[in-house]
Amino acid sequence: MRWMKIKRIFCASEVRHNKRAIDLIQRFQPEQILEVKDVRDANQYLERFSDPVAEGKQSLFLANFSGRFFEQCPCTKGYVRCGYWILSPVVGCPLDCSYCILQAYLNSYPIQVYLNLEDLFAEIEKWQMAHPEKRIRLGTGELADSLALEPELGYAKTLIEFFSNRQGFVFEFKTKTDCISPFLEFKPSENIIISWSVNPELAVQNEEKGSAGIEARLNAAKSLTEKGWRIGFHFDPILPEYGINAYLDLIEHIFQQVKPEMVKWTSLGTLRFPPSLKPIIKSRHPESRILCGEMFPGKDGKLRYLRPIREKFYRAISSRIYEHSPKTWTYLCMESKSIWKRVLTAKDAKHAKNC
Amino acid sequence: MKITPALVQVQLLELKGENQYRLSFFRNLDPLIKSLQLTGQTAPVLCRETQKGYQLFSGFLRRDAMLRLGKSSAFALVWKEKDLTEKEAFRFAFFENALTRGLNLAEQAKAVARLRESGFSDQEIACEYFQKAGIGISVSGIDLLNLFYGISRDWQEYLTEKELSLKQIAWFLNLAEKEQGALSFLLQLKPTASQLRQILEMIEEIIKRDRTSIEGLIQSIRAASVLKEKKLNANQKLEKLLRNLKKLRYPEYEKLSARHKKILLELKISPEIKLEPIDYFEEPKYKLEMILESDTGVSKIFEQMLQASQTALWKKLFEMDED
Repeated sequence: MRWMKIKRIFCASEVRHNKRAIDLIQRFQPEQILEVKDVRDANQYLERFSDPVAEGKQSLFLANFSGRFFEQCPCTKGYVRCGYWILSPVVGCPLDCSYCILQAYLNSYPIQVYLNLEDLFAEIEKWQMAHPEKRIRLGTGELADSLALEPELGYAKTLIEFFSNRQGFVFEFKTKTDCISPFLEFKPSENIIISWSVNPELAVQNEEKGSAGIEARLNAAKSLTEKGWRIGFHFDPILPEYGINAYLDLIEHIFQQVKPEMVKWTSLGTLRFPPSLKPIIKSRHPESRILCGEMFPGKDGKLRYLRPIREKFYRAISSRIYEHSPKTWTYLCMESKSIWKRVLTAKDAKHAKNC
Repeated sequence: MKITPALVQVQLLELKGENQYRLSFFRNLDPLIKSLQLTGQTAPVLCRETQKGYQLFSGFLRRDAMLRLGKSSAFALVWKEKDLTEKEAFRFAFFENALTRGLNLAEQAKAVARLRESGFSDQEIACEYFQKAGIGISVSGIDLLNLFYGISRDWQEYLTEKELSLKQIAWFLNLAEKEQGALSFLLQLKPTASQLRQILEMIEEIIKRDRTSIEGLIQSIRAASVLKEKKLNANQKLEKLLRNLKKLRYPEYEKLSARHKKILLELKISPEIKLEPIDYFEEPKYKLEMILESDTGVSKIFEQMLQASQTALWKKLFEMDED
């Protein structure tokens, strides 16, 4: 299944002669190419459509980035950090998940693709020189889907080349697609993990528009593990509206497809979002069921399910994962230390205090 | 070709055009009357001169206010019928009203209905009228305004008065007439804007979650019997219905609250002491509040708390594993 087509590319004037920009335009073959001064011009152009967010998902904005590509995941106030680092050569996503925070979080509509990857790599090297003792997990799947623009984008290949076997880094590609072609050209690397965000098939159909179906994701995962790549699964966001049994069935399905020893980590996180996202979900995804849950503002002001509901799901899902794969590291995303302790094994829960 | 309208003194009672052009709906005339008393008429009303007489197309509120003040005539800018089409006149009226006093929801809906009748597409209405008048609205918003135009006058008045946004009432506007009618008890109880928003949101979410009908939901919250309770005034009835609705919308939270209340009751803590959960039972922490009066024994309150804190029941209050 193919996600939304890129039908338009905005090119910042400063990069109109950039070789990478020219290559990308050739590879994506958009219907429209528009030269703009900056992303504000692109936003203004897209605002004329009835759903600029949807139009933005079919548009790329090519530019150089002068800020920081690499930063620690800010997590959320009052909850445990999982110690993740975010790398953002791309900001925005062509998939259209109803719950996606990017709909409210980003201040620009098109998917921003930054061309100055040399600066990104220099930033990483500089950081590593300043922190030679550190070993961190990082990935490109926070502000984008790591593989949704592949293989046309070609960044996955470049990142594999750079991070493969690089000391101090465990690099994660996080996706909801089945686009694994970039990995097939390389030998598996211990420190490169490909992970899938997963949900029961009905939730995928209702809430994750444009993404690959669960069968396709698991087939992709299976193919890569058979070639020796290590993988991960993120049960995030868990959507309690779809029922606990659907998640337990999903876990059974996963471990029918992949060998437990190939699963490096799993993470769990129930749906949470700032209240400002609620009207956006209502108007952009009227068929979505996710607003029917019992959600209340947490310590960080975000809406989240009532604690006993979250715990019930965490406990059931983590137990089933432990049954299949006791050695896989399981962690929680944006949860309090007390919940880590109450729903995970002591071995996994101890990570909460290390972060 | 230059067209100049004439400034003419017209008889107020002779002005026609009410059905064709009037946009104003549910407006309080008092401020306008006051301003006319202070300064007199400062801006002429706008008319077309037709074979049937003067057709007023902008200035209905001014005309009404002047009539209330006992005036019989007013200054008007008058265009000859051939110099200004009905469409052009309505365009003047729309922009004059939108850019000076602004348009409320009912007026926006009326404008959409008129413009659709004149053959404009929703895209044209959004871009050429609303957006140019500074009303940020998309094509789907135009559709909602059209739905607004079709709801009963009582609901139109109420929703306009409460100044809810189109997004906040989108779900309600998409209901069938019968379903909207089933909710008309709300018109009697007159919830505030924020209560109404909360009620509509909860009803929408329950219906989606439970796949029930509005009628079924109204039965579940026992609306009919609450409305009949003679001892309760409208506000108390509304409070009660809101409580019933919340119980239905948040059943797990209700369970936690009920457990909490039960423990407090068994602990026999006096009503001057309040032990409220923090962040919706996110953690086993409570906020302690005490009401003190000059003759309240502080030591008695603390003694009571101390005694309670030494019981097994107190421990239960801080257990996160609910029964």
